[in-house]
Amino acid sequence: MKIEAQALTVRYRALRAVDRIDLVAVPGEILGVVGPNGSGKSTLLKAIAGLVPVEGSLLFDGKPGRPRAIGYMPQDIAPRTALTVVEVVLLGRLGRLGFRVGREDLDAVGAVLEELGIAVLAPRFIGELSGGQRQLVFLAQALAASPSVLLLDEPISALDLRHQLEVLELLRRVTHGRGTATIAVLHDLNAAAGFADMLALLDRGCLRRHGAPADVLDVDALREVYGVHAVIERGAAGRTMIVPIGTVGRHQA
Amino acid sequence: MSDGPAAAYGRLAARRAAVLVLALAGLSVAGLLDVATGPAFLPVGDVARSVLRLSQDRTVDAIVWTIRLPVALTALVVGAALGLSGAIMQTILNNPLASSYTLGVSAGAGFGAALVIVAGPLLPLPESFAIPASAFVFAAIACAAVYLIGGLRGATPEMLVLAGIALLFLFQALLSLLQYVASPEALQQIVFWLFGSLQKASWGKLLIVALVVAACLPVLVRDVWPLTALRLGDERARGLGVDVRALRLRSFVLISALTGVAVAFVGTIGFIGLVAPHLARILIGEDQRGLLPASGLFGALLLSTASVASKTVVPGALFPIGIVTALVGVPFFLWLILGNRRAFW
Repeated sequence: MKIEAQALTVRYRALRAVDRIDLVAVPGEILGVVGPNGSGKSTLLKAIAGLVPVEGSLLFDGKPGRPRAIGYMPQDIAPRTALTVVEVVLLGRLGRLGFRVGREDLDAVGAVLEELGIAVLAPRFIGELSGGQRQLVFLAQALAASPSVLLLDEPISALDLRHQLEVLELLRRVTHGRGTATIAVLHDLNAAAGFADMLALLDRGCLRRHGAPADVLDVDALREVYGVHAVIERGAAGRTMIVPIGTVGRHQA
Repeated sequence: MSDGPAAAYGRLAARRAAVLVLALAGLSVAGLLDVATGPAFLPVGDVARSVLRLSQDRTVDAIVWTIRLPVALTALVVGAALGLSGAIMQTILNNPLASSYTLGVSAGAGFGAALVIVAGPLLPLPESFAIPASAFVFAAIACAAVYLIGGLRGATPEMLVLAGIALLFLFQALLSLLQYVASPEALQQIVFWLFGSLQKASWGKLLIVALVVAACLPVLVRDVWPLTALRLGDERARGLGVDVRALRLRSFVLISALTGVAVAFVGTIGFIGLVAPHLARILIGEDQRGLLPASGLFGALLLSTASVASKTVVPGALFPIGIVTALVGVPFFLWLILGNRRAFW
């Protein structure tokens, strides 16, 4: 499903948390959203998910209004609730669930838990898991209904290195294989540069750059937006690698 | 694919079913004991035969069908209504202390009842219905006020809880004022009403309570999955496509009806709405398909057991049920929350 935002704006009273952003996310591509703290990344994702009032135009396949087929994963907040992992992931298929849970729903949940390597967690209570395990469970929830739009807010922030790579590879597989339009907020610039097909760089609510990772993340952008002096290297398979050297001047978060 | 998640879900479902069946069995026993106990103890076998219309003893039939069965069934239905409303309240307010008793709804009903006792019927109704009608209306007013005041700041769980506590103090103050100006006879009547008593039960009143509870059930069945999603927090629920504001509003209407009709006919009964959902949550978790029926069943079981206790603790004496539920409820509640190792809240 193609997502088109034009002059998308979100106001929190006088503050424009998202300021007239034009953006396109197409099926089969991962759009990484990067930027410093407070630059409006999470708010942009909430705006696209239909969770905050917006100004401007937001179209899904050319039509306004939030479609049902969105998988949304907000930033991790530990819920204190007596729900097990299998129940939490089932909720990802909320729109399709009847009072009795069908075999098809259980199979879909089982498949996504297997794919993320957390089938063994199925009977555990969500409140008993580590931050990284919880993140994988909520990613499974977002994937459980095979949505045509995936909106992920920092999906790998609590994961160890191996799980980060596994999740990013899974997202590429899902996005490219099923033709999903995936938008992921990422703090790790190397992960963003390595796995996203396109990047959007935000700064104080505005879109500073939008394009291929190599075009978005250069020395000038890192200095101006992040206040960081960095060296950019082209690694194996043409991947952009950012090596931070030090801070430049005074920078306000 | 391994059978892990499906097997895990199967075990959960089996556990849930077992708990519900056991609660139903306990409920049947408590209900029969409730009918059997009273000034004259009737053998449980005779009670069972009479209830099943197999008895030949007209005296037993008269005691059971005219006096005790309406009381026992009212305990079950009112207990179920209080347990259900407590569970819904705790779920939509994301707060373990939420119940109609702690958030001013019961206090509103108490004020409504006291108003009629002191000032006379506000509508041309006999007193036996004017008092419950006023209690029901003021419970609904309290519920609406909690939602409207909390709604001024976005109807978040925190704001709604604070609004409920403010309402509790308001209605308690108004109730004290009425008690202050009441005649000694009216004051005695108010105090007795506030104790809570099942002895006002009749077949007609039971029918009204049962119909209201039955009318709420289809809405609850429709909302079980959205309510379960709400336990993951507002943002996640909205991300899953739940219209959280509409769900809260709908739930408040249900709480208002369930609590209003329950306390209207039996007075303010505390702790059932608080304890029953906790007991259900500990035994079968937060999937509302299990939690809501279990909360209703445990509410019915607790009130029915309290009814038996109110007649048997001191032989020959009948304690007001509200006092018994509080006395038994407090230590039971402390045992529940201190003995439960999993931190769900």
